[in-house]
Amino acid sequence: MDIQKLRDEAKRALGRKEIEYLIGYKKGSYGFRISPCFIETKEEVDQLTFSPLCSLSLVNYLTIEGKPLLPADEKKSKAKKVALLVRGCDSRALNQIIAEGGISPDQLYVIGIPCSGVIDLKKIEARFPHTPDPVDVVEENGNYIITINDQSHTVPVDELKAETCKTCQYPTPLTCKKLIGDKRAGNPPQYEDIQILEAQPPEEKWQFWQNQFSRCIRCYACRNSCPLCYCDGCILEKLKPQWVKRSVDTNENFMFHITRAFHLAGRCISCGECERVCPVDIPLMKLNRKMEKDVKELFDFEAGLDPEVKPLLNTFAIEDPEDFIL
Amino acid sequence: MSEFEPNIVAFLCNWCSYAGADLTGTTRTHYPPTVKVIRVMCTGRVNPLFVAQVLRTGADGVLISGCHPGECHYMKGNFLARRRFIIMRNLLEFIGIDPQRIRMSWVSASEGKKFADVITEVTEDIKKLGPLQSFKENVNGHPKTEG
Amino acid sequence: MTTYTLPKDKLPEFLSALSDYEIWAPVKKGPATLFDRLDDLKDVDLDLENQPVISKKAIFPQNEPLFSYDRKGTVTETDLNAVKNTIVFGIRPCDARSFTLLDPVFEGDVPDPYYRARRSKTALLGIACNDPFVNCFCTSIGGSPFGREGLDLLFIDCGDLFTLEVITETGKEITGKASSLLSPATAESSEQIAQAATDKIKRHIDLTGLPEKLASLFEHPVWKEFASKCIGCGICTYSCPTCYCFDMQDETTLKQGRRVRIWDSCMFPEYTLHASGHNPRATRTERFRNRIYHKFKFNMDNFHSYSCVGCGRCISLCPVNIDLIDYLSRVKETE
Repeated sequence: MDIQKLRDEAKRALGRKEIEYLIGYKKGSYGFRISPCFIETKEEVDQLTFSPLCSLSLVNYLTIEGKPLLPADEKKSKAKKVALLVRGCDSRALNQIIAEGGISPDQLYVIGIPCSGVIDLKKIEARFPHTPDPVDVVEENGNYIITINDQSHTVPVDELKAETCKTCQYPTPLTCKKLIGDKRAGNPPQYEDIQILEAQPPEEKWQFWQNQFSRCIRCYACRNSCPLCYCDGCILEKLKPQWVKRSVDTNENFMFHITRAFHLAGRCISCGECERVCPVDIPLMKLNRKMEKDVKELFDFEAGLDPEVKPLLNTFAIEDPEDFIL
Repeated sequence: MSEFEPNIVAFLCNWCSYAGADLTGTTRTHYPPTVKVIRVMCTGRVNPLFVAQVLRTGADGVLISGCHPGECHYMKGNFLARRRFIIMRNLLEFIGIDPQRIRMSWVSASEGKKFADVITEVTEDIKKLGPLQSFKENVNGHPKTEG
Repeated sequence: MTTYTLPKDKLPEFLSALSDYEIWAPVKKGPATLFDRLDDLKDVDLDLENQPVISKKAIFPQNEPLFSYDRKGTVTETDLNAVKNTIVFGIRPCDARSFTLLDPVFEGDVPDPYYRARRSKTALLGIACNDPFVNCFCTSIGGSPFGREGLDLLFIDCGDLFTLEVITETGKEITGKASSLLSPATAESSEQIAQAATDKIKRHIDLTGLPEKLASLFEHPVWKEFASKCIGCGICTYSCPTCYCFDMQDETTLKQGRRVRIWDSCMFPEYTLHASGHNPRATRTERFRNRIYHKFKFNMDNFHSYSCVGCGRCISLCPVNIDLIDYLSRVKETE
């Protein structure tokens, strides 16, 4: 993708008087890191960047607590907008949040970028350890060209791309004001690993998840990096009643992950960020994709495709399956 | 060793299943004394997390029972509940809890006999599965159940 | 100082010779390497870099039951005499140093019996960092990749063998238990490798005057800017070897309960939530500012040291690239 086009578009957007600021990505402070940034003036636009290293969803910043654009002054904020860069998954997240009434589309100016998938930071940092200087990465013909200190390295995309992105169905933003670059076709979803786990006896499934969840330190990075986890006063913060106790043990960790997965059922848009930020490598997307698969099979529903469609669990159909009901 | 008596928590809706259970009593129909009934106004009020919560604090199985489709006192509570519990049940199954432990039924106020049958069936199924141990212990092996 | 050598392939034997102790070490668990109680010697994984779960846990566990009770009125206190002699093996020198920073907190005016019970029975066996990691900045904050502060025994990786430096009496006792595996080292010094390792550290910051600078910046708008990209998870505090905040909660069922001490994180909103509903640190800005102030000012005021050992974990694990070194240098530049 042409960065210059992105910067030009950003400049145009910031030239509009209703736009307060733009949320984008800039180079991070070291190595492969990318940092979210908030750009208010045209002069700052040149720090904008976009590469396969841009992993975090910027949609988070629209709903995060203390967000600058709160409708505190209804009249004033109504006229104001935030410009935002979105990839395919982010645009689904936006649709879903709009459908849920979490944000008003009138407050957004969305610039879409067809995304070729992001690099899993854990993989690339394991491959090129000790890289303190900022790095450039571009994707060309199925390879990542990684430039570290003027030295180029060519690595096949498959070796570094995040697992979720390999099966991304909607790489092109679905709803946006401007699209930068050419549309990309998606891949069919793959649920083979889910089916293998589904076929195991209950004890083995429990054992599998126990091994995974026993590592959890409950830092809640998965929750906070999730664009759809935007509840004001998360259930995990409630003390009366305390649904999930703060003790870190198997029982509570299971409860936490059940809660998290269930609250994302029919809402997860498969960006995979929860799994990528997990410091102890819990395969959270297995849970999310299981929910995604079931919801698709049972109700023919996919999250975030259309901001007009009501959320799955707020609706019902007379003919919903009920073969398990006595 | 005495036979395993399952501990089942049943969430019954006020308008149909709770009245149905009442009828089971007034008609002196016998059913296993394994269930602890919690009356709720509607199955739509039952947060799916209640299921996970009761399973981890001592229950071996959960039953959610409400009005037949189309007969909900609040028009659509049971439809909404149906969707939620399919998903919750699948999630818990995926995590390793046998779905036979999470049951749902439609029992109307006139179906006292059906209520007894449902409880009998659920009790039998859970007896076969045995107690739900896995979810009740924390990492140090201290049980978190009601002693 | 006594030094020994230990062939690397004899490491499992060395650890099994110490079976009188409870051993904690970096353990391979699935795809991750975590610090945990070592049940099987095969699981030791000396991956010093990727340890989001850290050695702090061995002495200051994430959840610690203080006592339990039931409806009959029986109260059972945790038996601290049951704490076994423990060896914490395979930690980085910065992690060992972190315990010396935790000591004044837990053993100050009101000594904490739980911390003391474990701390007094724990020996720290560290491995020198020949190859410091990308975000290491221990040398800027008073440490070193070959630092001995806090350690009882320092392992130095010299190709196919470890050189063991005995630092304390406890270290001597431990080497005594495995003496058959150790041979006295030749007088060769580790100075050179140590210097090479120090030279490899690429990130530096001059912290002179930082506490004074912070004293004048409390109300500065820069904190809002700094905190703007923070998503408010607790990864930086839970992976920090010097963070020690905890909460105490009663976990009860109908018939029994227990009081537990659990790690808390100042990055969570409920950390400062009052019973009245008021929250004095209501926004990310205040919480983020507090984290920096606690580490680099309040701790200096109270305990005369920074509450940071320069391990770089918070920088490496942060999902949104909040870079402590970067931010501190910007604090220094702020007028």
